[in-house]
Amino acid sequence: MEFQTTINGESHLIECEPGDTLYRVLRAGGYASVKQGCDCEGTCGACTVLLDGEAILSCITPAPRAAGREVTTVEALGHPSKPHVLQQSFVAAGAVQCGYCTPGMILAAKSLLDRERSPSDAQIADALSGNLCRCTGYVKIIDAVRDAAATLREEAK
Amino acid sequence: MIRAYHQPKALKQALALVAKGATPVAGATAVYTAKSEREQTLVDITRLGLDTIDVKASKVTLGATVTLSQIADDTRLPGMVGAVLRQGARALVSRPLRNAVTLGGNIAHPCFWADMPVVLLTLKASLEIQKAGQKTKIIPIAKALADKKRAWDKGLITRVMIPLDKPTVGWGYERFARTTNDYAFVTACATLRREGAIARDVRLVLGALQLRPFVVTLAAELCEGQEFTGHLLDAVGLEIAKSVRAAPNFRASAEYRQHLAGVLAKRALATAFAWAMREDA
Repeated sequence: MEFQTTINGESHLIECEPGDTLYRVLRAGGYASVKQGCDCEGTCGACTVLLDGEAILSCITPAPRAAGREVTTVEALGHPSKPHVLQQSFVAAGAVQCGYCTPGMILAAKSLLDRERSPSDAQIADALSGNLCRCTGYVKIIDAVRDAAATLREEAK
Repeated sequence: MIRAYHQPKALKQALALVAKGATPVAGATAVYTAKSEREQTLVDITRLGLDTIDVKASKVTLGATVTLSQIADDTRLPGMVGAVLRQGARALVSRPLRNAVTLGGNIAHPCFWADMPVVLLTLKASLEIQKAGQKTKIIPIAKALADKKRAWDKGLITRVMIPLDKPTVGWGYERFARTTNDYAFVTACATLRREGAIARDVRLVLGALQLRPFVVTLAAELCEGQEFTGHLLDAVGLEIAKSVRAAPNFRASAEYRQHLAGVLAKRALATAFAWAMREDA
């Protein structure tokens, strides 16, 4: 089947099988930041992407669900010479160890900060509740999101 | 094996496809995590405009494709009904899963641990069910869940209605799992009204013990019109633990879950009574 979607601001015509997941389509399209951590059961959050700005688990999302909608992966957020404020905050706070969960964490956090510029720690924990990290624990990750929120508030002044 | 994926924009089209045997999906989490080899045609019902929450003086109407995140975040949902709905939605801890899982899906593909059917049964919700070429039916959720022949087969749950005609009541919600993200061993939801030290209109629902949640009529029988004391709650907890039946699973034995049912029932009732006291304060 075929459908039109927007990935990271660019329009794409996707050809896929009716049962394909969004994860499979994105990986096939070269979006390497989208990871598989669990057995495509929606339990780890490494495959998190944004669909119209909302964090979803692409490994259990039907690919055609993206038809006519906007998909965002972490590739769209920044690059080494000009990282996104969340990426900077993760590095500065030491919130990255192996890095496998980081793209999902950053997108889940972006979804939160796009709707709430002054999140409480409980709101940050809730936003990251679907994303597992097996290296760092979560303290530094929550620190990083809190720092990013503060920076964004400063920038908005 | 998914053979076709349809995304109709009109309810009539969706109903026609479902009548022919297609499987309706919204969040699609049940279908995509099951990874079934069975040949299926899917009908995505998320473009039918069934994703709204309508709050009126007498009832709350939730579209079938309202996500659990929408419910968890909606502060327009009033009073006790709103609080219980939000609590049930937040019990699914993973935010991205809540963004996908829908109210209708939580009822139509009942996982025994699902929280929303427990909440909806406690709140005496009704389901609007539509089928191609038939009149729309409104069925109490208690009847729909008790019936082994699923009322929505070959059709769709389109809306869920919850009455708001009760006087202010207290509520309690208890859930026990190994971790916050894990499936519940037992879920207990209680509502009641208070007259002085006496409990009225006691309603207790237990979930995760059997395939579907159920109303524990024994709780109402033991508590109704009685002075609400710790002694009464202890007796209710013990009687419930003795009388409920639990299916064993790999997480816990039937005996342990029966014991837990008594404990959580007691806690949910105690919290509900405490809420009711607070309303008076």
